Amino acid sequence: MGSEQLVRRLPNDIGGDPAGKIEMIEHELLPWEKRCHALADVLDFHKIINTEEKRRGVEALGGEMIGKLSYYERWIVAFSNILFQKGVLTPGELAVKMKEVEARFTPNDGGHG
Amino acid sequence: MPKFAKGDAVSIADRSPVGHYRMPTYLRGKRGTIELVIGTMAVDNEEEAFGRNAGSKGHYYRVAIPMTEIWPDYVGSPNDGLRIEIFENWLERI
Repeated sequence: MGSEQLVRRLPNDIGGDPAGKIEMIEHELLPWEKRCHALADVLDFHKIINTEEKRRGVEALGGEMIGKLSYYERWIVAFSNILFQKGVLTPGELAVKMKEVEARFTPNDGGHG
Repeated sequence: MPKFAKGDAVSIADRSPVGHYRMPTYLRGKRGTIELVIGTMAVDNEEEAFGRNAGSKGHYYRVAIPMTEIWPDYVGSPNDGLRIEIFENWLERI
């Protein structure tokens, strides 16, 4: 692939590329994934991050992350990046909050802290 | 007024935006037919992706593209085709 294609072609624009069979697997949503989806709706409703910004945020993660993160992992990382770009949050603030939430977590309570 | 009407023959623009686009590479330059004019006008998704929630609006169109247009060596039924909703500024009249 020439460097021009790296610029012109988004990492998730894979239609027509050679590939194997698609495995269809049913996936029961985990509680955090449902919350992630609810968060997306709230961000969209309040015009903080719309659906298209989220899609662009996922693309901007690059091919490796898109390939290795799960569906909602891509969303949540994209949200963080977009909120940093918009100045709504700083990476430092998020790190402090994540540490605080992590400290509340006890493995036996199902993770609801 | 929508720029295109049901039944119009259209061609998908062959251009390469950088950063964000909503038109898969493999469909650029392909020809199809307007199957449906989407009633509600919308903001161009490519602009929305940069946080513009309002502004100039246009129509989306559901375009029918024969499989053989996309894959010249397609061997399935000639009735097979792809349907995709495309924003006005990606379509050209033919």
